[in-house]
Amino acid sequence: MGPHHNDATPNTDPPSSLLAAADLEKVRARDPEALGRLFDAYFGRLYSLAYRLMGNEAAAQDIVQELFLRVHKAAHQLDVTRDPAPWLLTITTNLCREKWRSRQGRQDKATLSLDAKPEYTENVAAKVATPEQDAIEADHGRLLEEALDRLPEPMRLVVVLHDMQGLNHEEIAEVIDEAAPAVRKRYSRALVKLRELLQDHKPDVLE
Amino acid sequence: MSERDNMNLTPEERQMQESVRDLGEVRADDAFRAKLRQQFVSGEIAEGETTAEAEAPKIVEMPPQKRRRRGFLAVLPAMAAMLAIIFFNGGDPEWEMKDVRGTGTVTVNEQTVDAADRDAVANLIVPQAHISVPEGVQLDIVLDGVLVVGVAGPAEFTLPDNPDGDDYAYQTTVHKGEFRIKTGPEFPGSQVLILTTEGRIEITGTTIAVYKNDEVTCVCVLEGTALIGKDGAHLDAIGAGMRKVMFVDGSEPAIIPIEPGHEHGLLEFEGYNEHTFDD
Repeated sequence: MGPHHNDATPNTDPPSSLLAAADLEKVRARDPEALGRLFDAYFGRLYSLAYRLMGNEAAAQDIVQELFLRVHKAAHQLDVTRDPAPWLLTITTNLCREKWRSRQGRQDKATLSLDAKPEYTENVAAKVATPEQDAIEADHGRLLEEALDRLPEPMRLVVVLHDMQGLNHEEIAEVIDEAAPAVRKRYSRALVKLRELLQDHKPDVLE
Repeated sequence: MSERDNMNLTPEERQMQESVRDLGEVRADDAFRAKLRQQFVSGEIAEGETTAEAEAPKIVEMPPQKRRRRGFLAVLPAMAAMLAIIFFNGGDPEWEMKDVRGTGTVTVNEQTVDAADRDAVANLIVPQAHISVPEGVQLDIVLDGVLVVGVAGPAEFTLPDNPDGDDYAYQTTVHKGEFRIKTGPEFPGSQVLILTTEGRIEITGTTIAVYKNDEVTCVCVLEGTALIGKDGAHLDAIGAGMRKVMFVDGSEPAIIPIEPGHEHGLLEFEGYNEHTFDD
């Protein structure tokens, strides 16, 4: 799976890439073995990103299926001098954002007449009161995952890219095509919001 | 890989950050992974799809951030209008379409044009224009350096006039739908007044959204503070993260946290317009 270097020739592999330039050239030609190496190198990271952004397995599977379809169709456009990771992360996040928008459009239409009802805080309160909720309150990881799912999507996006995918703010800005200061600000807000959501759920989780 | 050192996070924020990092990677179902890999490697995944290189998708699909360049002939009317404004108005900025997205129409002062015809839409934008967009169309209009407003259809509003020395620098009316507004660096500090049938919203420097339908006016504040009330004598100062809901039937208004879906829309609007005032 790793890069195959010949010591006699200069290394022209893209920096940070999990695949050598030679492999990426073969990906461009849709060589099955190279496609397999690309898949093996990045599938786990991209699936995890899709899952964290979409919040469930079915949606994550839909996203990565569409992602690899697009990668296959656009393989000839791959820039072999660059690490393909940002390209793949960009496609994945864009697919998730498209999905959010289509879902958001339906949601806005459905809830506009319900603006007066604080359904969101009510839902949280209702959740705290259920016996099942009592049962999982000890599980901080699950609570945190639930809180993450309830973060507004643009906030969730920067938290996941920063803390789960290891991107810095400038790299996130590149991926989501926004300014780095805006990303930084949103990231900080997101952490505060996430903490609030956890506190709503179970205050002593954070103690 | 991440520049995690130079951030001025509070201890609480850092605790959150560390907790999130501890969550780790999510593993896919093995059978799903194996099947998708086989389809990808064999090319089966693209069967039935167009594989011609010329028709391959444009894979980085980002919203346009830069102002559109219009053809010379198309901008002639706008140039003429601008000259007139400069002559009479001392060079004040003018409202200009920033972007229009989606499929449908845009109606400005009873003239309806296809949203895809960007030049036609742009040429209709004038101060105090009565604008409506159907579901599926989003329109952003900018007053250079001062304000950017965005509507997501179905929506109907009246674009503010240029300042005229009254108490409020800008005044606009939201008739229905979703209306977002963000102030820019050259915003003079005087107030923007937004009116609906249920209330009035006064802002001085902020990002907010106004949702208006047959039952309520809901004002969400993302940044800064907005004064919101039924009339000038009953204004509440609503801060970031909160919203005020005013009812058509006269019920007691509610001040509650922003609904996540609305916050999402505002964050996208803010991100989308991050560079709007850069020029």
